[in-house]
Amino acid sequence: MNRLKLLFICFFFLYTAIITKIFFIQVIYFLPAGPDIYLQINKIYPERGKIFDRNLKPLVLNQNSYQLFIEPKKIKDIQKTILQLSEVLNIDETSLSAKIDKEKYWIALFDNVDEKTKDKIINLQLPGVGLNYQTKRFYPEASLSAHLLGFVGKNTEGKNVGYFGLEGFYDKDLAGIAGFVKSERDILGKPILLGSQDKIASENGRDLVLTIDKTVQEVSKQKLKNAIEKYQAKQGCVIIANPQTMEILAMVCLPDFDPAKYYFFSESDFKNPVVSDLFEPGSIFKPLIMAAAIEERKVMPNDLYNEIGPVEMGKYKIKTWDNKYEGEISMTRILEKSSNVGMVYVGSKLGGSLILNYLKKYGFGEPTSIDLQGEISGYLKSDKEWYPIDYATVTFGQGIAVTPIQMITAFSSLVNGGKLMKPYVVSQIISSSRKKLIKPKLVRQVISERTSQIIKKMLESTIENGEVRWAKPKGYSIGGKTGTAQIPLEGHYDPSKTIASFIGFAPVDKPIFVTLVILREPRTSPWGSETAAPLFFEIAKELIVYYGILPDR
Amino acid sequence: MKYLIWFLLLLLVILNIGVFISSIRLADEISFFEIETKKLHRENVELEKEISFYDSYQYAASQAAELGFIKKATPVYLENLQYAFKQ
Repeated sequence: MNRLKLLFICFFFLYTAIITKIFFIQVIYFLPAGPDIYLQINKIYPERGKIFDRNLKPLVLNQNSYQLFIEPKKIKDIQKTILQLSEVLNIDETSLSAKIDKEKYWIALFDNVDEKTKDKIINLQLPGVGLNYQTKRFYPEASLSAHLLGFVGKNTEGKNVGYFGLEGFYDKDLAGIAGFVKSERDILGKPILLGSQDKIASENGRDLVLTIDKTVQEVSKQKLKNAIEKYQAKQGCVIIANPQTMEILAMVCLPDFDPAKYYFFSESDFKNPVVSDLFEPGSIFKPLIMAAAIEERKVMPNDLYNEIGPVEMGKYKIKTWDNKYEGEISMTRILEKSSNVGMVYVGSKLGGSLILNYLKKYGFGEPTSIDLQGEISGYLKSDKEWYPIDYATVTFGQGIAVTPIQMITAFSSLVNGGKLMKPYVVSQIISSSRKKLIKPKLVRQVISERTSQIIKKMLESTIENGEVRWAKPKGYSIGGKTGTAQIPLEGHYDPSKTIASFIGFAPVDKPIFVTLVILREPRTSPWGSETAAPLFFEIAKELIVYYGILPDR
Repeated sequence: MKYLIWFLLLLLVILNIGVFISSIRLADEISFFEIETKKLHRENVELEKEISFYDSYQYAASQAAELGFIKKATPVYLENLQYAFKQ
């Protein structure tokens, strides 16, 4: 009986102690009780998809980054914490102090803290200071493809969002889907195995493999940079594509921006001129009209035109660029000497209705649907708004506004057998479970194979017999056309400013590349033949070597 | 019979303690591997970044510049420098 009483008294004191402790925990220290007290729900952030060039060389990767936060209620000496953090972060104490509100429980101080700074902060072992793991974009080639790639910024909710270029267009594919982990944990954060464990796995963003060749992009950018300096141009673009498929091999415009530090640049810097800017193409437009006239059998390459002087159309007088007239010239010679009056003749043979019809067939006035954010459709007046002078001027590429991507896409149809192909930049979208291949897409047949062969020969002759002798690689067949377009300014053309351009392709028989070069307002010379053309040939020489193109002439 | 019941009870208590200790050890291991996995992931991201950097044209260009394998433009003076070149 005594032993029983002793056992009873022991158990009584044991249970009293337990109840007292629970009373202190739940009532005095107010720790909420219930089945969810141990349940932790954590978000699993997906990794943003990477971007590679066609040879799987990385253009955009992710790197480790941390978000620095503080819990002011847990900090005993806030001044000491501010002082130590300001030394490590290398910022003013006053600036840091202004971000801290002692009434708040949690404050995010800085994003994008790098590894070295993070290690220094951890070593300080400051109470109430913590770091959340994040990732941010890393560009191994810096601003090589800035306009093409775009950048990753924040939206109004503070979440990562892609803006411009590929980051903008493929934002949903690149972002991925977050997951969740529901896990019961003890006070030390270790899992309670007998408790509930649920997980919805995250899905990392899809990787993109581009049609872009990093080497060709690098060559283009270097050559463009040198040309802009040499010719003192305000801006320039180079676009290189495979005309058979309209895979974009390189796309670069200067000036550009640093996508890793986009916040130092203004919105006007982010716009990709290749898809978002309009320009009057000038003489590089002439082959399109010539090909249309040949396709409709209105003219043949050896037909003759009597170039005797300027052409008058109402109050307008259309002249050649040098005001020189050669008398009877062939259609090929019209292209060789870039005769505006000759092109007006070709346009008059084709007729206004067919001109408009072919402009639409070439894709002008509608977007190409290239997979880049920010593309505009250009402007094509409605049929009723065209006057005779408009039909005349459009034959030499004035009075119409196009984007560079529309121009190179339309031109490519002249040299690839007449097929208008949809331009694209992404060739593969890779997720963890599958790989989606994007194939070339035919939009429509614009001209026949026969017309394509004819116009290619004419463009080869334009290079061989052009007004200027360029440093053309010997033994290689190259076709192309120069362009010098005046810039419209408040209803008239500014005589001092031009857009110098050149569009070319090689080799002529089965072109491997087509290149459009645009230089805006070059100051050393306004002419495309003296600025854009030499740039084209410099790039062409590099491409001939890179692609191992054999001499064919 | 009484001793058998006490023995079984004792065995159950020991088994219970054993399972409890194992679950704590397992939880420790899980926690350890969670931390290790995150650490390895961060290391992989860092290594991938370093490999891509050293493989980049930007790094090659910077090394070429450092080793003097580039052309540097020499300045062209429009006015003769009287003091520097003692003209």
